[in-house]
Amino acid sequence: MVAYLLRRLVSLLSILVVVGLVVFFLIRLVPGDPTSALLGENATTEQIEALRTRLGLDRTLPAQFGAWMASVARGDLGTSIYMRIPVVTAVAQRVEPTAMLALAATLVAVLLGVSLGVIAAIRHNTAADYAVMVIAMLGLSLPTFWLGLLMIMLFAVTLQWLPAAGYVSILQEPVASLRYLLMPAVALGFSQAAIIARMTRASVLDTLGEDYVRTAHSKGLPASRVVIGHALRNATLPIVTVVGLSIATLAGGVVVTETVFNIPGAGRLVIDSVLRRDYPVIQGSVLMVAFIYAFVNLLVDLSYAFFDPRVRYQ
Amino acid sequence: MIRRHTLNVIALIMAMVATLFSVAAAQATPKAGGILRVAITGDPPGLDSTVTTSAITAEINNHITEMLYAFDGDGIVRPMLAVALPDISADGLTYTIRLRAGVMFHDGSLLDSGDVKASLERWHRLSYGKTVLKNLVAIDTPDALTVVIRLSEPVGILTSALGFDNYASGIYTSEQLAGAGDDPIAVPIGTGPYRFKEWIRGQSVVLERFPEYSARSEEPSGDAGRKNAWLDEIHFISVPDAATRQAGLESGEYDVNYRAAGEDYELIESSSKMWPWMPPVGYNYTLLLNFNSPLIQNLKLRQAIQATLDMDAIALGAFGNEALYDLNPGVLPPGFGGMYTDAGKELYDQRNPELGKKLLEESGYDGTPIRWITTRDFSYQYAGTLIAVDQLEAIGLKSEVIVRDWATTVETRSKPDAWEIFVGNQISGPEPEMIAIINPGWVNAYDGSPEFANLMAELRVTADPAKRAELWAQAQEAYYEDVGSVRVSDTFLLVAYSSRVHVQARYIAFQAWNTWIE
Amino acid sequence: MSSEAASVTAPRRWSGLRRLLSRRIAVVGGVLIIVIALVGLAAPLLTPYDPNGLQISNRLKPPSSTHPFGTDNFGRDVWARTVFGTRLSLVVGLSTALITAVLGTLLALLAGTYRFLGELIMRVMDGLMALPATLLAIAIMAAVGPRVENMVVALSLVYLPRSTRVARAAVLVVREQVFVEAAIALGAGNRGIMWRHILPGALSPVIVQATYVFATAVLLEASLSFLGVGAPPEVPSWGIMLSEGRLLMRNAPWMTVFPGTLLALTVLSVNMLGDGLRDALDPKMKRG
Repeated sequence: MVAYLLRRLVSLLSILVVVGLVVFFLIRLVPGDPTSALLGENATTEQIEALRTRLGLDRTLPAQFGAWMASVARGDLGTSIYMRIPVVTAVAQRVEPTAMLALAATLVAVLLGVSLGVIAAIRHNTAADYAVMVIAMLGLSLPTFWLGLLMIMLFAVTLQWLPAAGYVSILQEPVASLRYLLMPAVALGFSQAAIIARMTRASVLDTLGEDYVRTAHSKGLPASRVVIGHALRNATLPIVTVVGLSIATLAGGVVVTETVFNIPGAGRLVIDSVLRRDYPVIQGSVLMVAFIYAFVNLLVDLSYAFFDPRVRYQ
Repeated sequence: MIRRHTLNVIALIMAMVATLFSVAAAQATPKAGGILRVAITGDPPGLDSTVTTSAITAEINNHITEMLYAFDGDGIVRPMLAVALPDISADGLTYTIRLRAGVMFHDGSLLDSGDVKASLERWHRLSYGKTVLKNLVAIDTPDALTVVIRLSEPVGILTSALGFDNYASGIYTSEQLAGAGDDPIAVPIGTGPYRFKEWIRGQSVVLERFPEYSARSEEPSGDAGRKNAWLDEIHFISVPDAATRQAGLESGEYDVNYRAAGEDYELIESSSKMWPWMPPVGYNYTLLLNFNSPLIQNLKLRQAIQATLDMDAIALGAFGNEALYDLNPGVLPPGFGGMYTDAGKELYDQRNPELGKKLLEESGYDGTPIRWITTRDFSYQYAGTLIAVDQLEAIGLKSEVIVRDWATTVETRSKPDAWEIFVGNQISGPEPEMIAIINPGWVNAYDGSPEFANLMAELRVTADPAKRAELWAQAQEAYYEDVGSVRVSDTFLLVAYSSRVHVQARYIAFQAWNTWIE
Repeated sequence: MSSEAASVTAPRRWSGLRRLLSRRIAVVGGVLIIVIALVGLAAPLLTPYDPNGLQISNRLKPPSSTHPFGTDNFGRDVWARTVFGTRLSLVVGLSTALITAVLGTLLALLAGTYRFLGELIMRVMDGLMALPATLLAIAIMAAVGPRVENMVVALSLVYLPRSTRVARAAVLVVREQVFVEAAIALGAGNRGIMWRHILPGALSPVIVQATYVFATAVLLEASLSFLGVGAPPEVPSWGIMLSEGRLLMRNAPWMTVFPGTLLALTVLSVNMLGDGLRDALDPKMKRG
């Protein structure tokens, strides 16, 4: 077990090196450089050349890569070309909105998914079952940005119930913050609800078939108590697993949701940085994401073995 | 085209009447206080407009710094930090500029000639000053409030250049300039009615009223005259998505949508919650031609393009509403400054595909595809490209549309052999020397036929307005004959204001002074 | 794509088809997809208009008898663009699903059979998966340009690690099964075990995963268009239609409503089919 862990930690390091290599060269394969964003489109050739020299972009790629890796090894992710602040600071400023969005979306997904899944399981193979599952799947089928825009049109512009876009820190104004978060959380969480609903339905159905649940049922326990007390409790583990996995997939939707609702989050930072060719920010933030991701993956792998003893560490 | 022009004149008159009314109404009850939330298109690259040509930077910076001169609503240069227009020696080589006394910077220091000298020297080193002051001998400071610019050859547009927004010759304190050197100034200290308060990167730039602002006494007009800072604070909020900007304006999140979509013009105009505004100096919407390409070097082929295109269709498709563009042949805008001319108008907006087809045949065009570079990041570039391509394919011109993101497109455009045509907005201005596409220095400038180049060279050293206008009319004619680029229209930015916001004067660019909020 | 753990199950025998047909949701989904695919194939017969034919004088016309779905901001027929747009979504979704399923299974089998190679493959996949999906797709599209082939390659690269992991997990489970261990004990060769025993056993999660890849790839194509790195201009795409029409959602709602609905319907059908497949192929669901 310890040896396995050690080996995985070493491979985590190798993942980071792979990711670093890929992102460094991939982003430099993309034509264009940071000067167009910094200088505007009417800049003269001389201005552009001078800036390139100042930024060290006129050095060879291996030299730039070496310099970057050396500073990363010292724990320095560099400074943003566009924003002129350390990459770590730039990312740190953007973590709260993204984390809050992901958290709120997950909450929406779990609430919606579990309740839809339970309803479908209780009424299983009836019209209600199908209706509920189709509703859940609809969330998985709508492009997040379109759903988001439709919601903005309805709830912000027409009804004026909720703010259209923006973000307020939960630490400064908790109530306002929740008002701002509600629509993006639903837009994003709806897409994950289907997966959770499906899992909940299956697990609840499974446990409803188990002998001890049938016993409880036959002993005269009301159906709701059976479902909540037994079936749902036993279905928790697989649901948690799916929630864990769906948090990872939220990442893709986060970028789009942050754009539509103008949330100054980390996803938006990465996209803006790609558009501006702000290399240090792209490299630094991807490396950070990769680290978190690889770490979570490691935990998931360990949990596979934990949940399913048939899988052995090798 | 003529009909369109008449319509525009009527619209202009109506707009002026409306402005008079709103000015009258506004002046009755201007109210101090409040925060103006302006939704802008993205986080600016910095606040120092000397080191970038970014439009957002310039418009934020305009609130913080001031120039020696400023344009009024009719496009006439007026003094701002200077007492009056410069005294120009008879040979046109010496400009003597008196500064206003007692003008305070945001750090509490007073404006003197040393600040102006340091600012203009940096502008000369890093910005448009490089071309404008190409023949600079020295900047002298005979006393604390007098600046003397000495030149080796006359410069026709020096006064204009020291007052035109886009030229970014703002005056900073000499201390901060010494500190910054050639690096961008992080927090500009100027003399403007608003000063820097806070910048949360990626979210908002916040400016606050500068209580000790030294205002001029003349009536406000354009950038010139008195600046009343009614608002306590201005928040420039970065909102990249256009749909979100407009939705946020309507839901009350923002007070100004600084770049509204033309498609929303009628909605904004007819709504009681909003009103539209368009700055008088727009952009030159143009098919930029790459003269390094052998295809483009073929005059007949250029003429074929010029003859064929229907500019109304291109501009309408690109900007979404007729109010956002004006079809006229002038490379310089009408009604702003005195340099507008319609010389060469018979070659503009011909809508003659038959002639185009004939010219294309005469050109010996062999069917090599024309490479158009464009980006979806700016929908007007993309839309205009598709429509122009469609019209030109009808006369037999083959095309390849290369769609990339903006940074890639800019880089591709700077490569001599990678493209033929780019459709986009080029900066416009009151003087020919300010138009990047026809002046050396810019990557994609049109160098011109010998005739055009000679006229422009003469223009650059001519200061007399009448003589300049005459030279420019000839130059524009030569430009059309040689098809220096293919002009589509003037286009205007659409700014959407919440009806809570009142504006007291005709602006040139977006400004939040002389503006108050209910 | 997040059903990795969920779809890892014990092997089942091919009695699945009957069970699939007994699941109404799956049948409805399957029929819908077939109809949508037919619409895409028959697109030229369904409209007299060129989906790319510009007509500026005819822009933003509401639905009428000549233009049943109205026209867009270029005066193009929205119905024509919608039916032609079916092709891109299905081609992108299907190709990505097929490529990732086949490649993912092969890699998983290799990884499950040869230990050293397996380590290497899974580390590279982990590395790829550690890159944020949207960013990876955007960077690739920006680097190689907006072509349909490039889009398929970019999306396949995004989903390959996930498919490989699902297949790999299935392979791991199957390999621990008694009958495989028996085959090894009986001295069967690596290759024989791989093809004859492990592959059929691991196939059902892979198929289910492929349907999710299909569905999410169609959605990601739309998101990429929204973020500005979508299909080339000459290819009608629902994603592009949605992103171009979003500024006109009030002036010209028909520009987004029709492609948006069809996009949602397509993804929904694929998901319904996938769900049905999952239930049918999962023996634990027999009672369900």
